[in-house]
Amino acid sequence: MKRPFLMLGAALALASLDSPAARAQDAAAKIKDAEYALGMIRGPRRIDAIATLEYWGAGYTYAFGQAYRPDTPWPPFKVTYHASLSYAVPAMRVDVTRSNPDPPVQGGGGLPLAAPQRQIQVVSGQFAWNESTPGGGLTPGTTAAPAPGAANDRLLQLWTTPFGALKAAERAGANAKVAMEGGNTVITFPLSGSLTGITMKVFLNAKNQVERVETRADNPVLGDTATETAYSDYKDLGEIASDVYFPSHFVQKQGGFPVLDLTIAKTDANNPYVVFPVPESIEKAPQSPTAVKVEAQKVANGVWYLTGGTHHSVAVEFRNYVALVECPLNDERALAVIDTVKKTIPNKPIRYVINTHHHFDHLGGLRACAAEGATVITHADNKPYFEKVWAMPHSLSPDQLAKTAKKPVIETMTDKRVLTDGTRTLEIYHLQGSDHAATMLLGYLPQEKVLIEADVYNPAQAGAPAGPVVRESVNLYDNIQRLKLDVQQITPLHGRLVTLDDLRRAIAKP
Amino acid sequence: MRNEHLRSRRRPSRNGLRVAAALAILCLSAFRLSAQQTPRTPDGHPDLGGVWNGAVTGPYIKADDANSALLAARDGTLLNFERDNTIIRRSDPNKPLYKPEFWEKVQHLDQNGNTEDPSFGCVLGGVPRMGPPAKIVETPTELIFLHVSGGAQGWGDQYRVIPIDGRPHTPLQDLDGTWKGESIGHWEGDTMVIDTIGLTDSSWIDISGYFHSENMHVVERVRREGGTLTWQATVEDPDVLLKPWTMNPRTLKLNPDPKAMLPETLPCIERDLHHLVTKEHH
Repeated sequence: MKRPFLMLGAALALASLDSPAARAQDAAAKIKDAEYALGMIRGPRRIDAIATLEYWGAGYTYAFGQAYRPDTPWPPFKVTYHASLSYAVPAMRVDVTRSNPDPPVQGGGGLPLAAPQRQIQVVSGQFAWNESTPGGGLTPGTTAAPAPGAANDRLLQLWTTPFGALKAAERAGANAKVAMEGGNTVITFPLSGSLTGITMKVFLNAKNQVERVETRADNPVLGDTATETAYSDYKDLGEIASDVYFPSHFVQKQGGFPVLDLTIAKTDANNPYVVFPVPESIEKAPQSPTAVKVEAQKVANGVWYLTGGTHHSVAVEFRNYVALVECPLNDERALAVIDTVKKTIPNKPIRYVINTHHHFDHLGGLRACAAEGATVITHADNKPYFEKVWAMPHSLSPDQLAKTAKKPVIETMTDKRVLTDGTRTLEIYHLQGSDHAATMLLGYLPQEKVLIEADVYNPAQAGAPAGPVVRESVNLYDNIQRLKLDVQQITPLHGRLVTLDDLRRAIAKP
Repeated sequence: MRNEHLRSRRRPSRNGLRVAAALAILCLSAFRLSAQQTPRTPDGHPDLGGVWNGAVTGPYIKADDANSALLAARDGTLLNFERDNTIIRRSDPNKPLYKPEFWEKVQHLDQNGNTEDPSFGCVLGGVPRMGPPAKIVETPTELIFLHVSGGAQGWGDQYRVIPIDGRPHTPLQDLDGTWKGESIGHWEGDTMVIDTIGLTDSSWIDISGYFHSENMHVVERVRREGGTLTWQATVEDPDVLLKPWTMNPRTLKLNPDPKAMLPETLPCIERDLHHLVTKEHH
C-alpha cells in the first residue's frame, strides 16, 4: 500500500525539481554566479554595480553582405575602436576609425577608402545618431545626424556585451531558462522593450564566464539570421585594478562570417564618467524611419527611373510585359516599387527582374519580385548562392515569398543577355574588371542610349565639388568603350540622372 | 580562569542588550517624531531647528555613510572594500551633464582624485559638497547651520550663517569667490530655499571630479516633515554644464535626545598623501 504513495511522492518531487518555477530559480542563481565571476557583484548587499564601461581595442569590422563573390567572407576594414557604454540609460557610443586592410581586398561597403574614416555612432534610449566629434550636436561647430533606423541594432550590441547579456537575463526574470547544451550552461530569455521578439541565448563556460551570446533576427536575404558573438581570454584590463573581468578578444559573426573581430587592449570598468545627452536637434527629428517613397521619372519613351530613396530601380516597358532592373533593399521597398510599376505601366506583368549584383542592399527585395512572378536574371555565379539562401527559413518575419511559397525562377547569364520583343531592346552585360563585385551587371537600352549601372558611379548632387577619381568609375567608362555602347544618359541606381559627360568629368577624362 | 572567561564573554552581551534597548527607544522616539506634526515657529513656518544627525543610507554608498567602513569586499574580506564601495558609488546614474569639451577633464579629475580633489589636504568641502547640516539653529532672521564632517572627509567642523530676512544678493562681481559663498534663504510654502552665489571654483560640486566655475549658482531646498529633514541641491553652471544638475536628496532623522550633542571632528593634519600608491581615491 505504501509503495505506490512513495513512488508518487518521488515522481512529484522530481516534477517539482523540473517545474518552470524551479528552472527560473536555477536561471536566476546561474546569472548571479556569472555576474560574480565577471566581478559585477559588489558590496554587502551583493548588488550588480557595473553601470558604465569603456573599452579600447583594435581589429577588424567587416561589411556584412558586401562580399566580392557570393558565399565568401565579408570584406574587412582595419579599425581602432573605442566604446563607451551605460547600462543604466541605456546608451552606447562607438568611436571607430576605419582604414583599408593591408593587403587591399575586393568587395563593397565603401572599399577602398580614400582616407581613414572616423565614425561616431551613438544610441541613447530610443534615439540614435552619428556625431562629428564626441558630444557632436551639443555645442556650436559640431554636428549630430539622426540615425533612427539604427537604434535597435545599437541597443542590441549593448545588450550583447557580456555584462549587458547578464543584465538582460536578470531583467527577464522568470522568463529566463537555464539548460545544458554541448557541455555549456545556456541561459535563454526574451529581450524586452524595443527589442521584444528577439530571443537571446547566453552560453557560459566552466568558469561561469560568458563565452558566447547568440540572437536571431530577420534579414531580408538570409531570413532567420543568427548573430553569434564569442568572448574569450577574460582579464582585468583596467589601468585602475577593479577586479572586473572583460574579454580581451571577441569575434562576432553574422551569416556565418565575422562582422567584428576585436582585441581589447584596455578597459575602464570602474564606472567611468560617460554621458549620452540627446542633442535637441535629435529629439526633434522624426524617430521612426521615413515612409517608403517611390517617384517615377520618365527617362525615355517606355523607360522610367524609379527613385525616392537611397536605392533606385529602372522599369522598361515591352509590348506585353515589363522588365525591372533591380528590386533592392527589402520587401517594403520592393513592394512599393512593384506598386509604382503597376500604376505607371498598367496591365502589364513584371516578367523579368534583373539583379545587378549579389550585395545584400541590391538583393534584399528580389524575393518580393520573385513572389510577384518575375523571373530573376542574374550572373551565373550567383545562382547557387541565391538558391541556398532562399531556402533558409523566414519564420521570424515571414516575407512575401515565404507567404506565397512560390519557387523563384532564376535565369543566368555570363557575358551578355538581350531581352527584346521587336519594339524595345534591353541589353545586359557583365561589367569586367570590377573590384566592387565579381558578378556586376550593366543594363543598356541601345535605342534610347540609356545606361543602367549600380554602385560603380554614384554621382554627387548637382553642383557639388568634384571628389577624388574613383577607380570603379574609370573601369565603368573603360567597359562602355570596350562594349562600344553609345551612351547619352546614365540612370545610376544611387544618385541622380546624369549624362556620359558627367561621368567623363568625374573621372577627369577629356 | 574558565569562569572569568565566561564572565568576560557575558559582560559585553549585557552591554549589547542595553545598547539594543537604547537603540529601540531612539528608533521609537524617531518614529513618533516622524509621525507627529511638524513643529512650527511663531510666524507659521516649519521649525527646522534641531540636531539632525541620524543619516539614512541612500541607494548609493556615500562617503558620509559610516557603515561603509564595516563592509566586506566581494571576496568576503575587508581587503578591497573601499574599491568595491567606490564602484557602487560611481554606479549612481544621476550624473551632472558637462559640456562635451569637459568630459575628459571630469574623467581625469576623478581618476586622479588623490592629487586633484581639493577636499584632500584638509581644505573645505564647500557648498554644496558639504551637504546638509548636522544641526540647525533657526531665528526669525537667520539660519545657522552647523556641520560635522564624516570620518573620511578632512574639512572639519564648519558653520554657515544664512540670512532669511529678505535681503537681496550682493552683485556677483562684488563678491570674492569663497568656499561657502553668499547664501540667502527664503520660504516657498513650507520649503526653505537657500540661494548661494559667489563660490570659489577651487571646490568641487561633489566627489567624482565634478568641478565647477565661479559662476556656479546653487539652490538648496530644505524641508521638514515631522522628525525627517530632506535636503536637496540643484546646481546651475552654464559655463560648464549643459543643464542644471539636481543632486540626490539626502534625508536626515532628528535626534530626539534633548541632550544630543554634535561629535567633535578630529583635527585634520595631512600626513597620508605622499604614502598613497593609487591615483583614484575611494
